[in-house]
Amino acid sequence: MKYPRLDPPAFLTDFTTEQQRNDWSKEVLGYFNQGIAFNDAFPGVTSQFYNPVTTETADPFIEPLIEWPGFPKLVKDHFPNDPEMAWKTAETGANARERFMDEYLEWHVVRKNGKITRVSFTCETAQYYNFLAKTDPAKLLEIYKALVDPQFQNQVVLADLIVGGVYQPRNKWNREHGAVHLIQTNNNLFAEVMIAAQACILRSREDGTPITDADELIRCAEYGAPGRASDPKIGSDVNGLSRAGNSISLRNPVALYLTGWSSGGMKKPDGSPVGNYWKLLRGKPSPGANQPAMGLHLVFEVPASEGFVVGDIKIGSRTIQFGGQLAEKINVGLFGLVCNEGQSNNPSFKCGVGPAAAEPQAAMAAESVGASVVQKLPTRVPLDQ
Amino acid sequence: MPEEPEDPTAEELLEADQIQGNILAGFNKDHQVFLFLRIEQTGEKAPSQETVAAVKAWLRALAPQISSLNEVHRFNELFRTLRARLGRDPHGVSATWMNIAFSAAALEILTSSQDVAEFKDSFFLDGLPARSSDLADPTDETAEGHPNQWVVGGPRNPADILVIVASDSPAALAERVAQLKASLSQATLPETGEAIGSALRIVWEEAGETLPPPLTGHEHFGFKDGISQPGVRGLIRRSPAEYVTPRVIDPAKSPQPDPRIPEFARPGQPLVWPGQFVFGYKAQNPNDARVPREDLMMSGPAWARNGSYLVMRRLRQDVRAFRDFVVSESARVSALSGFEGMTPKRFASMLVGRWPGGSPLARSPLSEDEDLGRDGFANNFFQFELNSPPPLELKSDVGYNGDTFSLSMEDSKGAVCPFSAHVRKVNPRDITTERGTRQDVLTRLILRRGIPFGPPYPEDPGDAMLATGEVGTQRGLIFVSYQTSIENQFAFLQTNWANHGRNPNRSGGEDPIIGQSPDEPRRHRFFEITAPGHPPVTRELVEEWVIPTGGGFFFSPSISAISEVLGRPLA
Repeated sequence: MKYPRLDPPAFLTDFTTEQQRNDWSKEVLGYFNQGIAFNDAFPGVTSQFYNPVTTETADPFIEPLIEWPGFPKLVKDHFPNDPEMAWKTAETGANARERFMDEYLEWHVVRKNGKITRVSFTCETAQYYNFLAKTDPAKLLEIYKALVDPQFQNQVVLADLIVGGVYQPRNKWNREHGAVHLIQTNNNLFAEVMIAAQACILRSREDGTPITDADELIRCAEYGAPGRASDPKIGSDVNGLSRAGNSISLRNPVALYLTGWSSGGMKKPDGSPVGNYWKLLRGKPSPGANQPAMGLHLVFEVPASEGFVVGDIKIGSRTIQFGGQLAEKINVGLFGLVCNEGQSNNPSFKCGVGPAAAEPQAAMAAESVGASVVQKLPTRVPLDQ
Repeated sequence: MPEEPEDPTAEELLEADQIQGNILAGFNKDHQVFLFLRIEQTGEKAPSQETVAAVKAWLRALAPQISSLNEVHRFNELFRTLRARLGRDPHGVSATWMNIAFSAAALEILTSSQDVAEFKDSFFLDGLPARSSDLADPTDETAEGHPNQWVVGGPRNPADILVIVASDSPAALAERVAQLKASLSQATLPETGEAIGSALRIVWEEAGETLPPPLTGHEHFGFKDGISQPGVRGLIRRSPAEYVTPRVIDPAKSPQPDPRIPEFARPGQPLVWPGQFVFGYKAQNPNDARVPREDLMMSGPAWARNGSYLVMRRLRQDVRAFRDFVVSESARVSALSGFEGMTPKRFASMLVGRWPGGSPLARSPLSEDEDLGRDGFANNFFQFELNSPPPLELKSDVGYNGDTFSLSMEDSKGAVCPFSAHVRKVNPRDITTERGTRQDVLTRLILRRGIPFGPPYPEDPGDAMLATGEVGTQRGLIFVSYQTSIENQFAFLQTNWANHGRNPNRSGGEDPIIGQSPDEPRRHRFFEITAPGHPPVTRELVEEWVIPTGGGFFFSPSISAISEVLGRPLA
C-alpha cells in the first residue's frame, strides 16, 4: 500500500483545489524527507523512517496510537501535591501558552463576571494555518471567525492575520481572544515528524547496552526535553518499534490529534452528573467506544438552556476555575504506521552522536564522540524562566 | 563510614514509635476487624462541646494502645526469623494490633477547619462519597455500587473514624474488640464522669478473614493476593543499620549501580522513598529512580508528619458472575485462531496477569507453574517491555537456592500478558506510560493492606448450598491502601489506568478485575487479547463482578498527634 498523497489533518475539507491538496502533501512529505536524510546520514544506516507516499507499506502493517495527557507534565510535576497551583501556573501571564503549554495542547479561557463560560482547546499546528494564509486567505479568515471567542468573531479582519504578505501566528486573535492553533515554539508539525524520525536511530551506552528508557533516550539523542510527557513518549515508542526492526512512518493524515476527552467526575450545581458539554468544532469524533478520536479543536461550554456556566461545574468539591482542570481530561496523540517487523538491522550509536560525524558503535573510539555536531530541535522553555 | 549530611540519597531514620504500624510494616494478620465510628451529632449540626470533649478523652486513653511501626516491624522480623528457621509458621507467637484513622470531617471536629484546609488532597477533603463518581462508581442512585446503597461510608451512613484491630488469634481479636467496644460504652470522661458512649456510635463492623485452605492468601476469585508491594526506603535504626524493608539482594554478587533503573530490595520489589507513604519524608522524583525530590513530602498541617492517607474500599466480589464469564468466554475464545485449547483457568489468569497460585504469565505464559507461584523471590521478578535482566543473587543468610525459572521476555504487544491484565494495569513496571517513564510509575505505587471478607464461594454450589444461603452471602475484599496523595496514587491508578481503555499500555481495554467504565449507563468494558502472530481480539465485558459497597478516605495520624493534637482537651 502507498498513499497517493497525505491528506489535510483529520481529512479537513478546507482545501478547495487539487493544487492545495497536492501542495500540502508535498510540504508535509518534505518534513519526512528531512527526517529520512537525517537518519541516512548516519554511517551504515538505512533509514527505518520512511515516506509513506513514495515507499510501499507492506502487509501486515499496524497503526499504533501514541498518546499522552494534554496538561503540561513539567508544570504538574513541579506542584505534585498542589494541583490548583499547577492549573493556575499553566495559564497565568501573557506568555503562558508559549511558556507552559508544551504538550501539543493549548487552550483559551473566556470568563464572564469572574466565572469561566467557555474553554477552547487546539492541537492544530501553525504550519497548516500558514499554508492556508498562502493559499486561501478567505478560508483562513472564515476559520478564525469560527474559532475565536464568539463575541469577537465579527471583529477579526485579515489585516490582523497577514501583515506584509506574511502570516502572523501570534496575532491577537490567536493569543488574547482564542486558541486557533498552537503557538508554543516546539508544538509544531515539523517537530512531530522529526522526533519520530530521529527516534528511529538506535542508541547505546558506553558499554554497548541498548538504551531503552524514554528519558535516557531523549537525553542521549537530544530530540526534545526530558521530563515532559509527549516527546519522550513519542521517542520511546518509536525507538521500541525501531529496535524490533520495523519500518516506521506516520498514518495519513499526519497531524497531532485530540484522541479522547471525558466528563468523568464533573457535577452540575445540583450535584447530578453533567451532560456532554464538549463540542468538537474541527476534526473527527471517536468512531466507537474505546476508539481514539481525530479531534483538532474542542470547546467546553454549557448550553444556555442549562441555566449555569462552566464555572459553576464542580469536579469533586472544586469548581472549575481554570482551563487546566479540563485540559487534564484530554489526551493528545498521533498515529504511527509500522510494517516489516524484524527486517531492519541498523547499527546503534552512542549518545550525542549525530549524522555528520557519526560512526557505528562498534567501530568508534570513545574520544571521537565529542567531535560530532548534533542536529537538535530547539529545547523547551524551562519552568523557572 | 560517616554519612555525608548533604547526601540527598541518604536514607532517613523513620520515627518508628510515631508511625502507625499497619502503614509501612503491615499487620499481616489472618483475623481483622474494621470498626467504623460516627461522632454523634444531631442532623446537620456540629457535635456538641460535650461530645467533642468525650471523643478527645477517649482518644487520649486509646493512644497508648495504638500499635507503632516499631512494634509491628519487630514482631514481623521475629516471625520471619522463626519461620525461616522452622520452615513453617511458628506456633504460639502471636500479637494483636490496633490502628486508627480519621475522615477530614472528623479532623475538622477535633482540630480546626484551618488545620484541615492545609491538607491539599482534594479527594481526602471531599471524602469518598463525593468523589465516588470520579472513580467511575455507578451514578445511578439505585445501583448497588452507588454511595446511597453502600453499607458504610455513604451519605446515609457516614463514618468519621476507622479502627482496625488485627490478630493472629481469633480469641485475642475478639477480646480486644470487646475491650474497645467497652471503652465506648462504659468509659467515662475523667473530668466529669460522663459516659463516652453517647459521643461515639458504631455504624458498621466488618470482619476480615484470610480464606481457609486451599485459598489461604488468595482472594475470592481464587488468585493469590498481595504479592507485589513496593519496598520503602528508610531506617528503623541507624547503628547497626536496620532498614524498614529488608534488603535481601547481595550487593557483591548482584550490584545495582545503574542509577537509571530502580534499586530493588528483593527481586521485583523496587525501593521507593518513604514520603510516598508517610508525611514528612523524602519523596519519589518522577524523573529519577534513585534521587528523591528536593522538598520533603508535607502537604498538610505540621502535625500531619508521620501520618498517611488510608483509602478503604469494601469491594463485593460476585464470584458466580466472574466464573460464568470466564467459562463462557474461554469457550468462545478457544474457537479463535491462536487460542485453541483455551481453558477457563488460563483465560481467568489472562484477566489477572498471574495464575491462581501467583506465578506471573510473564514467566509462565501457557500453564501454571506452582513452584514459581510459591517462590517469593521469583514470583515478582518480571517486566513487560524488555527482556528480563538475569536473576539477582541473594545474600547467603537468606538461604535461597537461586531463581532458575524461565525469565520474562519482551512483551510489547501484550501477547503474553494482555495489556489490560490487572497486574499490568496497576503496575506497568518498565512500560513508558502516557505519563512518563518507569521512574514515574514508581510515584504511583501504593502500600496495600487488604484482606478478604465473607466465606469462600463453594466449589460446587449445588442446591443444598443455595438453600443454606452460602452462595448468596456477601464476600469480597476489604481494600486498604496507604499513600501520601490519594489523587496521584490510589485515585490515579483507578481512574487513569484501571478505568481507562488505553492507558497505560496504549490499548487493551479497562482492567477486567477492578476497572469500571464511566460510560453510563451501559458501563460495558472491553478486554483485548492477542495471540502471538495474530491481530488483537476484543471481547466485551457486560457484567461487573467487583462492586464497591462501602469505604472512605481517612488520615492515619502519628501516635503523638492522636493524643496531643486530636485528643487535646478543649480550651
